[in-house]
Parts: sequence; structure tokens; C-alpha cells
Amino acid sequence: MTGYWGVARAIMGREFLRFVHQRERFLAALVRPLVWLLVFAAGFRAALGLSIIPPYQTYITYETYIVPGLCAMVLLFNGMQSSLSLVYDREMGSMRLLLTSPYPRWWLLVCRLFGATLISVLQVYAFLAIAAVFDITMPLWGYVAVLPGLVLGGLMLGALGLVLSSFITQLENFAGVMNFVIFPMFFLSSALYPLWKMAESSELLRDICAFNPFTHVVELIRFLLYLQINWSALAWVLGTTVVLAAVAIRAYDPSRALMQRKG
Amino acid sequence: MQTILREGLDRDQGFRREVQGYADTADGMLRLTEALIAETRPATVFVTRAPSEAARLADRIMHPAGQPAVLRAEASEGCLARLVVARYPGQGAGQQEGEMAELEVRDLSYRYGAKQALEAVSFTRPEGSFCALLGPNGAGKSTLVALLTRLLVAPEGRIAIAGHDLEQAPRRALANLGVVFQQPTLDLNLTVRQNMRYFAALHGLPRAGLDARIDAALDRLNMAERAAERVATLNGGHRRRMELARALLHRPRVLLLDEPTVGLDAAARAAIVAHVHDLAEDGLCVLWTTHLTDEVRDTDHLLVLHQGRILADGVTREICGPTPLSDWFLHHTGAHA
Repeated sequence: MTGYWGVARAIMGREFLRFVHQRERFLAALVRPLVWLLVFAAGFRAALGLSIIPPYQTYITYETYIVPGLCAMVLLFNGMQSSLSLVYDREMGSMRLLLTSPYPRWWLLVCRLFGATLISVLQVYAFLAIAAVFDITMPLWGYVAVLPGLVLGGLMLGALGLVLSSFITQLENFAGVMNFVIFPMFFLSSALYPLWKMAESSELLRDICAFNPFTHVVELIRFLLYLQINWSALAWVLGTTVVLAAVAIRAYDPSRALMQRKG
Repeated sequence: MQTILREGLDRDQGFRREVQGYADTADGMLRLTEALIAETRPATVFVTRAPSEAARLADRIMHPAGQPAVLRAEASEGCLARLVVARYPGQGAGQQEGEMAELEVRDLSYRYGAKQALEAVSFTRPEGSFCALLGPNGAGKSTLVALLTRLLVAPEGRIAIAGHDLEQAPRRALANLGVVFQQPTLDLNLTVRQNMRYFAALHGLPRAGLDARIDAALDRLNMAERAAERVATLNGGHRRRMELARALLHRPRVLLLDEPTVGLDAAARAAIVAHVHDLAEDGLCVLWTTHLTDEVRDTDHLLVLHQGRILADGVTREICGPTPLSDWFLHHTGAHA
């Protein structure tokens, strides 16, 4: 068992060291949600009135509303980027190296997913810290309570990236993924507007958003930030994570029958 | 007191089991062998060290059924004795070569959609051998490497590394395989040592004594003083040497190098070719893929892959005769090398 843990520690440690050494990547990942928060949200503040909906107990500004969605956006971008990089760019070599490890392939992939999630979560916290500087704050313990939600959401979106990279060979670059996966997922969710607002324009739109697992990542984070648990969101995210991870591991592994036997 | 190092079919379809045990003396080793014979009832036993000793031991050990056993003994570090037991269907004790196939590829085929990339490729390589796998671009070298490293899995055929079937016992097979990939696999932002530690953890090497092991591996390639440097600061030749040191860190028995000299200057190429030949002489089974004929020595074993099939399998000198390899290769594959 120590070997398994050693592999996990090494893979996560490597991701962390790479993250520390790539400050540009870190800054780029921070700029995106900050632009949304400080420019987009500021502009929409007057246009969008938000009533009191759970988990909020008072009127909130639009900036406050949008923070959980932007946290999830960081997870989404990072999850896609790290999973797709395994297939397309320079990471291909390091993935081949990883797969020569005698440990089971599913374990290597799970560790890689956790490693990528670790980095995503660090970036979310950096984002929350900057948001706090601009006086957009959450309850203090909410910052702690949100951690498991961020990890789970990060795993789900990373697994989604792995599934995409295994199935859709036509997605040759990140721009394709942006257009066909990231944007639809982000906009068709509760990240920017609450679902009741969507329903005002179209019931169908609301249903699509309610079906989108990304919505549930956003809501899970939103509730946890206010020290509440949205059980249905949790169930959705948990279920989606398990399904996507299972599909990712099966699809990634050309010798899946074998791996099933070996466990 | 005995550990089974590996077992499985060897290239002559004989069942082989390799056992390692402690014995302080020749008598101790003998007892070990006797216990083993009683347990496995082999038709033939090889215990290797030196031919003269083998003859002496052969007189003293008889197979339970009364047939004489052929023995050779090999003592590695300290008082370790390593025994090889082999049993052949129909008792072919005449198998002159006691060495076992470290790398076995049998009837391997692979296709990408309609394109047949490999067709019924078979070969075996013993320990202590340098084998150049030569083929023009598109011959199937990359596919073969992907299959050997388990990136791809072939629907047909079998691969065994150090006696372990890659499909049935992937963990033990991969633990015995060292690979230097064509594409860079180093983390440029990390130091040489960090890269080595990462690899060691992937292979489950114990952390105790790891740094000493890394130092020793680097030292063999004259890279010891580079351990603390970031890989990004190393030149191409040094990076390759580091990758080679890393591939040997878990002490594999088979070393696979996929066009390892791509992008290196002449001096670095010559150095790495020479070093890997030394490794083969020290007992490693080396498979070196290339499309450059000047990396192959006359005395090397040569496998020529062309259009997914093995075109030639033998010692280079014997394959080409007086013709230079590059001419022979050009003539048979129609490709410039």
C-alpha cells in the first residue's frame, strides 16, 4: 500500500512543483475570473436585480452572486486544460512515462486527476482572496467548508476533460473545447443567473440548466460558502463524478478488460 | 529463503522458473537446488556460475527420475545463489543456450483501422545482448514501442518481459522494463534529482537509500554533479543521459530505447551508443530502435522491420555479408538510411 500512496504523493507533488514554477499559467488562470468579477459583474450590477434566494439571507450584490460561478469556472478551465494537455501537447511524453509505471493504470489516472484538482483548488483560493480584497467576502468558515466541494467539483470537471480527450479526437485544440464545451457549460448554468431568472425567458432553458452538472457544481460551492449543504447538488456532482471517472478510466485504458480483472 | 524471480515459458516453449536464495557455501547451494528439484521435478536444471563447476555439480545432482541433470551455477552479490529451472516438453536437454529470453515477442499484429501496422512479428532476445531494431519511417517501429510499453494493447500475439507476460502480469513485466522515449519526458522546470525522485515513486522504489541510488545512477553516466540543476539548463546530450540514468534506476532487465539519438550532435550520439553497448555487455537486454544504420555495429544483433514485418533477424555481419549495412538496407527496403 505504501507504494500506492508514494505514487499518489509523487504525482501530486509533481503537479504542485510545476504549478509553482509556472507563474504565467497561474496569473492567466486568475485574470479570467477577475475580469468577469470586476468588469462584467460591475456592469451588470444595475441591470440585474436579485431577490433573496437560498442560501442568501439578505439582498446581495451581483458580484457576490457571481463568485461561486467563477470559482467553478476556474475548476472548469483547469480541468479541461490539464486533461487535454495529456493528449495533445508536450505532456504526451510525460504521460507515456507515467504509464510505464507498474501500478494499475486506473490508479495513475486517479492520482493525476487529484493532482490537477489540487492545483485548481489553489487557484480558486487565490481568486477568493483577491475577491476579498475588493470587499466581496463570504462567511469566514465558508472558506473552509467549501474545500470538499471544490475538490469534488474539480475531480468531476477533470474527469470530464479525460472523457472528452478519449472520445472526441476531432477536438484538436483548446479553442474547439472552449466553443463546444466550456462556453455552453458555463453559460447554460446558474453561474451567471439564478435558475428562476432563466425560467422567466424560457422553461426549456431552465430545464437544460438544471440538467447541466456544472450548475450543480456551482450550487454546491455556493451553499458551502454559506455553510449549508445543497444535498441535491451534492448528489448530482457525486454521481456525475463517479460516472465520468469510470468512463474516463475505461475509455483511456485500451486493455480495460484486463484492468477489470486486476482491479 | 527462496524467492521466485520469474517464471513462464521461454523461447523454446520450455517452462522456466528462476529462483533466488541464500547459500553461504557450494553445499548450501546444492541443498537449495535439491529442494527445488524435489519441488518442481524438472527434467533439466540449469544452475550457472562457471562451466567447470557446472560439470562437477552435474555429477552430484540427479533428477528424481534418475535422469542426469545439466547444471550451471551463478553467484551474484555476496552469497546469493540464483538458480534456473527449466522443463521442456519432450525433454530437449540439448538446448545449448542456457540463457532465457528476456524479451519475447510472438505473433504480434496490430492494425489501425484498415492499415496493418504490424503483422505477425516474432522475435526473442536474451540477456546481455544489444539488438538494433532498424526500419524506415512508417515501418511499424513506433507501434511496436507503444505495444511494448503498454500504451497500446495488441489483440493478437504475446509480449513477455523478463519472463512475465505483459498482459497477464503487467506489473511484474513493467517493473523489469526501462524505457527511453523518443519524445522528451522530463519536467524542464524541475531539477534532475526531482525528476529522478518522481520516477522512483512511480515505480514504487523505497525511499530509504533513494538519494544514494539516484547518485549512483547519475554517476554511471557522469552526471552526478548535475543532480541539483534544473533540467532546462542542460543541453540535449545531458538530458538524454539523464533519461537513460532514470530508465535504469529501478534496475530493469530489459532496456528499450526509441530512437534515443534524435536531435543529438555527433559526439553525444557516439557517447550514448557506446554507453548502451557497455550496458548490454554487463548483462542488460537492450532493444534500440533507429532508422540510422551508422548506429549499428557489425557484431550487434539486427532486426529489420519493414512494412510491419520482420525482414531480417540475425547478427548484422551475417545478414549483410560484405555489403555495408546502409546499402543492404537501401536495397531491401528502398529507403535511405
